[in-house]
Amino acid sequence: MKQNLKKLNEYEWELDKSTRPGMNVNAKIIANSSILKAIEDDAVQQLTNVACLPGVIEPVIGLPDMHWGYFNRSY
Amino acid sequence: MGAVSAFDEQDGIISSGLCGFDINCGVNSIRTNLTYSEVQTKIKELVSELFKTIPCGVGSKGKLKLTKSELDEVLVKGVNWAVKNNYGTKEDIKNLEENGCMKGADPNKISDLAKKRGLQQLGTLGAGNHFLEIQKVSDIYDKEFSNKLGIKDKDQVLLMLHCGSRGLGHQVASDYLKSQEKAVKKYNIKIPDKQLVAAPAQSEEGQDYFKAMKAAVNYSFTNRIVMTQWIRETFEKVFNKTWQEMDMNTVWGLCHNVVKLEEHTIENKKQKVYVHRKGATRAFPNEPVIVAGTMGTASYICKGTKIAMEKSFGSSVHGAGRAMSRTAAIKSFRGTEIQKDMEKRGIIAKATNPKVLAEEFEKAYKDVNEIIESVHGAGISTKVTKVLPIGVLKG
Repeated sequence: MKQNLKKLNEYEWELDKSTRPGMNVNAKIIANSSILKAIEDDAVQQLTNVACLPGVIEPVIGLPDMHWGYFNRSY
Repeated sequence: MGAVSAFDEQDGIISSGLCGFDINCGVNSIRTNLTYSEVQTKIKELVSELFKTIPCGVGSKGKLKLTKSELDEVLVKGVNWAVKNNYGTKEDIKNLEENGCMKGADPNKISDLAKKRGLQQLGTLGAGNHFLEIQKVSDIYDKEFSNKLGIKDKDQVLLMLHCGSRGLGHQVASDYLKSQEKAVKKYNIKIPDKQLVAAPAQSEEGQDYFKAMKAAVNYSFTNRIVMTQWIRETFEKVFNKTWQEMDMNTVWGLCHNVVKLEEHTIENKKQKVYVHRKGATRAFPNEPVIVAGTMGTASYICKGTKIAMEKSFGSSVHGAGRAMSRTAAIKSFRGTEIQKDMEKRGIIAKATNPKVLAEEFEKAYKDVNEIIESVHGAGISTKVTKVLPIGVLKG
């Protein structure tokens, strides 16, 4: 999934909704290149899942601290 | 997760999956006017006194025993309940997102089991990535804004409290994951992942969750302020001064996991949307953004911007974000060694279980400095102050 990210500038990367069937909007990730390397492909995949939900507004945003897992285990 | 998504108020969804288990897991920054050298001489005593005062650990129970009607008041009124009962002040209320109370919370939308868990846990830290940290200011990048927050000098001592809505919030999330799982079928919502359950924004399942979530949000705001007051009292005991003399006011407190109905400008039109911040903070213009680093590393205070309103629905980062799973971290690192190593670097760490230190070891996370460079570079929040830990309490 990560290989489909298009560089917008030093800090922003876009994943077009055509990348995957079902995506209603584009996804955008905010990260410098060193952080982008540390972001797992699974996390990017999860972000595209969010982009598939109904009524979603463009874009869904992945922040530089994004990581795999919807849930925080601690409680 | 570290993501922000917005959904149309009418045609969109509200997703309990996209808010997660720890509703309003969040962080409060508290300042002092003490210097590093004043605190350093007493750091061991301070950490151990705080450890006695703040109940830590997974199922930890608090010193506060609430009645059912008191709990309902906490759920509806949030920090206003705390201030009425001499936990925190009106000044604290001003320095919290939503003024420490989301309006429209409904305790009747919360299960008895969730309430039962909530009765015993107000004023407890919990475990996992939750912590109380004593910090010293290492850099000030935006002097004007930092001064406004009462952070004036290098080596000034601050505190950071990171925790959430405890068992109550977790139970609310579990209950509504089930209810929204049914809603997905009932309303024939196409979800690409089972965990991303959701209900139409205006449906009963959507609105009930929203009201219940707000109640859990208010519980969590209150939880942090109750502990703030106990932290103040501990400092009074150790430093023999009143907390007011030590200027121990809340710098800012915010949510990491939350759903909010907000107005944003979308394609030049104002539109009401349900913003889901999952592992993200609000970053409205000129509002503080607290970014909690990893145990043993730097944390930052940033400032929200107009650019965040344009680019990220007024949101920014919340922390470092895991680079390694908890299980892998426990396999790779040893808690007791980490503790010794931190002490060599001048950080006193205490945890109920050393495993937690391994789980939360800095090498299991991304580099917070690079994360801050990313949001600063993108302009969605700008650097104000950097702090380094000197004492850490973990669940």
